[in-house]
Amino acid sequence: MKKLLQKLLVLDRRWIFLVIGLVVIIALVAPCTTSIGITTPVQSFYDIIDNAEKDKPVLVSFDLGPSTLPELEPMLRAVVRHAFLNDVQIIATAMLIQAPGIAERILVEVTEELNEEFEDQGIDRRIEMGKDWVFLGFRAGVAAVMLGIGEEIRNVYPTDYYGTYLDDVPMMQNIHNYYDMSAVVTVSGTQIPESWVMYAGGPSGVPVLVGVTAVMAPNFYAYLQTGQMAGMLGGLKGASEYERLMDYDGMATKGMIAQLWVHVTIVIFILLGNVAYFVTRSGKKKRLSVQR
Amino acid sequence: MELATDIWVWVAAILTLFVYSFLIKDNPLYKFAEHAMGGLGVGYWTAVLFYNVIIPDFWEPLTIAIRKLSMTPQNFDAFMAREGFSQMPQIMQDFSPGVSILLLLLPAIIGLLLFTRYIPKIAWISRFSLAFYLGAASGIAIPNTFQTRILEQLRGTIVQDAPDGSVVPLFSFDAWRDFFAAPGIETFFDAISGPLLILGVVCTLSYFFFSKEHKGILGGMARIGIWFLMIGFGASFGYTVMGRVSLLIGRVQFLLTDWLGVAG
Repeated sequence: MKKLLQKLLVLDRRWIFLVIGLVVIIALVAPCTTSIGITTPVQSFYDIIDNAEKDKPVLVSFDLGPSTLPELEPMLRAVVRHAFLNDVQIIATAMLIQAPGIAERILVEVTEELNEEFEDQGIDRRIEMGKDWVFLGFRAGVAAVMLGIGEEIRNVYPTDYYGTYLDDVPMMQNIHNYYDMSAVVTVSGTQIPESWVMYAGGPSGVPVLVGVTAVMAPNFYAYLQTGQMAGMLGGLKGASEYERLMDYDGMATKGMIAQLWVHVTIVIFILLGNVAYFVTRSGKKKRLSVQR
Repeated sequence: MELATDIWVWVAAILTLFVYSFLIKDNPLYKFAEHAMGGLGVGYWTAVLFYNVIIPDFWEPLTIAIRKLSMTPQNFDAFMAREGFSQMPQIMQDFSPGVSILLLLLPAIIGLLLFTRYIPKIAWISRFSLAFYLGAASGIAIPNTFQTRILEQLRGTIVQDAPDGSVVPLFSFDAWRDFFAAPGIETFFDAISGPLLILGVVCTLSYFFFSKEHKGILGGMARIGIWFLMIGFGASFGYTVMGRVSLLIGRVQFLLTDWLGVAG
């Protein structure tokens, strides 16, 4: 037994990688169900989108790159879907240069998914670009762009991503600045949500809702406590909670099952490592005392 | 099992495997994927910046302003119609064509001056551009940062907004009264969270107060502060593990679903 524990202490880390990889594959191929509790920041986020006024769009800023997609894409899909199902229009922007391609793909895919579902269910409704959503694309200068939208959105984005003047976009007719919007949603793995609080939420009072990677989440809890952020989705867990609230089995819900089993595996490894360490250490101590 | 037929899904899948091959050991396949990622990133950034910033924010307004100055009104209208511009650029709605040209060229020149860093003899000129940029950025950031990070956070350590819209102190006697009237987990956390937050902030700040030796009351507070810091770091680390595992799950989901078609 002791030999086995000693071997554990010098275990090649590649075995751990292999086990973690296998656990993820098995959990995704043969998923089970798991209960997901809803936390207050996610509930607040959901409630604001759910109760948004129909004639006041939500500004969704895609402030992410490919490296954080696994965590943030499920959030964006869930939020965009939720808004469309509630007839809430979306003004999409991108503050990061890598984001336009991602934003366009998610908006188009969710639009197609919902239109297919409407058609299958015989519902006479279609989500359309220009009426239900507009994508404004990327503009350089994060703070200047956010402050500019606070004055007049046309000053910063005279046209949408496809070159159509905002005056010619039906849903933008009476939209000029944050006062005409229900909320600002920013999904990012960077400090950009903090900038939205500084330059949009602070000056105008528009609720700022953030979706962030798990790594960034602890940095933003202080803003939740002060009310500067009205809601937050933290990592895959936050996204899965949002999907639960929508009663929708998306990417995050499936991912959380794998997440659960990986956490169990990591805890087992930590326990084994500690047991091995303390057992072999006590053996070493005894040997040392005998030698003395 | 339904293998992907899209060539780009195969490219992405193979590059993903190349990257994960690093877990076995560093190898040429990993290096290839790493360098391809770097090169593609730079190319993509350049193209997006060129078409989303240089063309709409500089080149189009500049050419329109120059033509406005050099063409007759009829020819200018014909040019605008031919090029599909139904509106004047924002800058020309606010300024005359001459002033617009000046306002467009000035930042472009300031930007170009940054490239003087490549010529050692005149590299000092780039400092003017950097000074301008830092000055403008600081002017925008300082008041908002002060408001967001200091004043609002300070307020949040003293009072909180109640659900009915009123402002109540963070250390609330009412919350304790509610707890003693109906003891329970929820009322207990309502009562304890405010004082705990105040204690945490004060003690953590005490730990970073180095003008006096950490002995006596200050030493005790600093030690409590360390506990709050450690709990904070622990929470951050837990979140970090979850984040990294999520990235792995995302890639495996891609490989299994989009590439191999074995998981729905």
